[in-house]
Amino acid sequence: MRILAVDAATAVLTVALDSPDGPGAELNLRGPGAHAENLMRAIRTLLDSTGVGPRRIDAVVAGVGPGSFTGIRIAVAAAKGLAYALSIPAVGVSTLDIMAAAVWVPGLVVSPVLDARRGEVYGAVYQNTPLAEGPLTGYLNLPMAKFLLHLRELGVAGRPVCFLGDAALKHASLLRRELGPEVWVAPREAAYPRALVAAALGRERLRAGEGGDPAELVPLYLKRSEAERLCES
Amino acid sequence: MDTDGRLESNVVASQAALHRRYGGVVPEIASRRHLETVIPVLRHALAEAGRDLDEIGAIAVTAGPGLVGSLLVGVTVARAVACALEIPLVGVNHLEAHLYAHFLPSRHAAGFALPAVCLVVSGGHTDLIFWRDHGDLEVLGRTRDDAAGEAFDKVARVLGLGYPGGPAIDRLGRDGDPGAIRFPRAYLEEDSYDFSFSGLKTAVATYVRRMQAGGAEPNPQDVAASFQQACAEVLAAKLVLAGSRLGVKGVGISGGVAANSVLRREVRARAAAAGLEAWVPPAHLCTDNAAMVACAAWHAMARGTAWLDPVVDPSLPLGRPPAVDEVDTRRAGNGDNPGNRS
Ligand SMILES: [Zn+2]
Repeated sequence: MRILAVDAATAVLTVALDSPDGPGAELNLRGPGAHAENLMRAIRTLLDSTGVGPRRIDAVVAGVGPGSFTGIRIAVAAAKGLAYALSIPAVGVSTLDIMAAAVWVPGLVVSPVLDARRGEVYGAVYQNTPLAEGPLTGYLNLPMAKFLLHLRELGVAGRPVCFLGDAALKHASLLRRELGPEVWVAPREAAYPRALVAAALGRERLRAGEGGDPAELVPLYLKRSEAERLCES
Repeated sequence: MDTDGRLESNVVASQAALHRRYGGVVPEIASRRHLETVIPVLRHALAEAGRDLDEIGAIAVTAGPGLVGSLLVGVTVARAVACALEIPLVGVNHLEAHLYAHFLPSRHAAGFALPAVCLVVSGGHTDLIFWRDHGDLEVLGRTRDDAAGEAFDKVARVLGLGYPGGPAIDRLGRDGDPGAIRFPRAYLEEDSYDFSFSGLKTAVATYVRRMQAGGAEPNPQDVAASFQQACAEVLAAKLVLAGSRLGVKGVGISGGVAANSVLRREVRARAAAAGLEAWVPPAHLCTDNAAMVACAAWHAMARGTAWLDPVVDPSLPLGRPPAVDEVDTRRAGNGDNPGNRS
């Protein structure tokens, strides 16, 4: 099964074409901005340089977030359009899952943390859990201080933990101070999701019978829009 | 739309009900909903036309002007579909698309001919346009403050009618006396084709407040009817004046506010008095729809001037596709960053 995968939730736009019986191809473009214009261009480039016509794609995987609202929308929009036009299945994978899956090894606690602005983060914690089952914590949108509290309650302090993501880079010294010397923060090069990993996760989901109809593909916003929040309060 | 420019289907998923509780369109909510509805709407449109995907020869999409988040959803999906089917993607200016409502087949628009003077009037626009020929447009005048549709929404709020204001005021005004209250008509300077609706809007609000302060309840039917009359008179008068002066065969209206019955009547009456044709497309082709977008693209393709592989431009100017560096400059200017988390 040849899979096209895309994620645009972070500062890095990542697109990949992967098949189980051959080398994969991946294109990563670091932002800021211009994801919308680069996205389909990147897909086009990937198809052209691998000599694979669009009609030979068997499934589409989209990183559904959390992250930039605009970013996750264009990734989902592109996946919907391609899957619909090619009559192939589409499946969504959380951007945090994609990030964690790139570094996850049994026994290690892995925590992707993304900046959600206004002092908040999007984050999750993975530990001895097959990624297909998702994070221990669920997908969180919390102020950084509360997220730290969450990590302490999970008994993470003093244990080896791998943090990755732009918020982890930003708060690296805070994380070390609060959680001890075993904290490892992934460097910038490894801080962002990779579409080849998304493709691998998507392949498992599709095998498990998840996903399919592009109309059902939905972003993982975690936050309501400003207007809805104001209206409720 | 088929090869000969015949319309095969026209499906619209309106968000009016969704935005009602906020009293207007909330951009983030609009973008979210567009993404949810886009595939069902595409399926519906093809099913209604009885067509398969592989019969599609080109995709047309609005690239601007409009809300950036909504434009991005439309253009990204359209680009993906065009890429998958390996067919051209044609960008269309939303305002220009409203003008092409006049080329959509309907008995109301029969006989439409260029050059013409047309008014595009909606919640976002009040533009008086001299349409010489395909691709040759001149904006004669536009609103200096609120779009006419905004005035309708504001007056609807004052009368407690909710969003969107247009249809509610139209209904209410039917039983009112359009001459009951003399609201101001802003004709601005002599010879100006510009409009202004903020004064009218404020006058209605002040009238209602004064009545209530004096212990009286204003008659909402009369307020609606008188407001619409004031609004429609100015719009129709300037449209017909421009039509007469420029020596065209007729004048046309489109855009959401062109669905208003008073404006339609006023334009027909004044055009007839001036010896001009009045082109007033059916209401469902005046309000936002994709048929007009397809029609604009069809004409551009027929003339070989289609804007291929468009980029989203929230402030796309009328008349021609922008140069890429021009779009970049404007974008840098308004600080829009597609990567930001909002
Ligand atoms: Zn419109």
